[in-house]
Amino acid sequence: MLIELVPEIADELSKTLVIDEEMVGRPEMTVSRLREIIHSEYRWAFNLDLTSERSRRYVWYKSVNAEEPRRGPREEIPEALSLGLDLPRLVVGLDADLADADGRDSVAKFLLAHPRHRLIATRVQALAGLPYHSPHADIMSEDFVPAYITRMLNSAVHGIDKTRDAMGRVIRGVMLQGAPLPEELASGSAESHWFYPSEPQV
Amino acid sequence: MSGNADLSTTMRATLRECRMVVERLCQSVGVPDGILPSVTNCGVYSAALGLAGFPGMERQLDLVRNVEPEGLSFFEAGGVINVDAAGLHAWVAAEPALDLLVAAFRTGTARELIISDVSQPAELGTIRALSQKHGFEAEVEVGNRTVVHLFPRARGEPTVLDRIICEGIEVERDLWFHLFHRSHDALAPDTVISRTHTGSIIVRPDGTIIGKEDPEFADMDLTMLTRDSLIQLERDGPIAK
Repeated sequence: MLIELVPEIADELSKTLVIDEEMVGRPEMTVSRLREIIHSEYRWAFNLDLTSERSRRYVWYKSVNAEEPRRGPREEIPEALSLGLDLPRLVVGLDADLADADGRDSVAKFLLAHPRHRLIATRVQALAGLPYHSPHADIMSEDFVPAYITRMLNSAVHGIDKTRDAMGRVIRGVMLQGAPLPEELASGSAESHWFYPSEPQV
Repeated sequence: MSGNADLSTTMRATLRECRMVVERLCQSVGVPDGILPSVTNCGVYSAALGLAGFPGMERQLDLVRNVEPEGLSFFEAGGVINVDAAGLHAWVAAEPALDLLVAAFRTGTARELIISDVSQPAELGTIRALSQKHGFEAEVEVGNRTVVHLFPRARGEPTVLDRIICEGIEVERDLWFHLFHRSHDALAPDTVISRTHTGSIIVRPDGTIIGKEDPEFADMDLTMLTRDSLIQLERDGPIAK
């Protein structure tokens, strides 16, 4: 609402924020090239236990009155539609069908025969070569700890220091510890480096 | 989402809102996960291009309910790709058919696509927007046999997607909220058990925490968040300890 008070500035700056979030595939890519990408960038997925009950127990979903993602055992919410991207199983499943196809065929021809692989095939193509696009984990597994990803994002993106995760879901940390005070910024006396107090040993 | 100051009956929904609502609507009628983004894009572009769009959304949803997307076939002859859509809905057939033409165009084997036996052929007009992400403009002649030609796009020209990002999509306000609420069919009921899936912490109305014990959080005090505490804080201001 405050931004709308300066529409000219906001409109101009908004052009620098635009992202369409669209994954674009390469229909002419050969099946063999797509397999090469999978085996070079998703090797981790083939090393996971993807078949045990323990590995497939959980589902990610949203409830009707909140947008935050929820994660629970499938038997507790049988009616929930899964919103989580089951990346390792999708990749391994795609590779299995690619293995049966002619390696010289185009991905376009492959997807005509295997339309349910469109989401994952397009994702693999669109993100090829980018090293940090996906967690190397089975997020459906009982062994997966969501707090690990929350901690990584809070530390790397949001700048939270001294993070602690607990109970598998909760992250606590400190923000702006050691940052200059407003009056130091105003007077120009702020240090360019923040101090970083070490954690007391108790 | 932005509304007009004159309280008109229309509004503009943002790209993200359109995608979220259309995707959930499609998911709620059983569109398979693997084609969900593709079908969603067709639904959004249908609205942006003035095809069936939001007014015809529920009719289209009925036609893609529990769709089995397999069955398309094609052959290529004389520089033309012929796709038999086997009666599938245009939103299901559009992207796979376009993919064949894009691949053929880039490898120099074909520049024309003919799609036959498709349900709701007018919705193949969405190919005009779908083709732009590949760097093409598409000419689409809709009919019993829909004919598509591709042309390289002029660099820098805004796409349909660009226009949606900047302007949103205009929609009748009542219709939008009807679809928005119907899209909740893709969400799970909010139950006591479901709330435990948000984390291991459960906060009682008095601010105390129940759940797993963890020494790291032994000093976490949420009593300040109780209703009485908040009222007191508003009245007295923060009290330094």
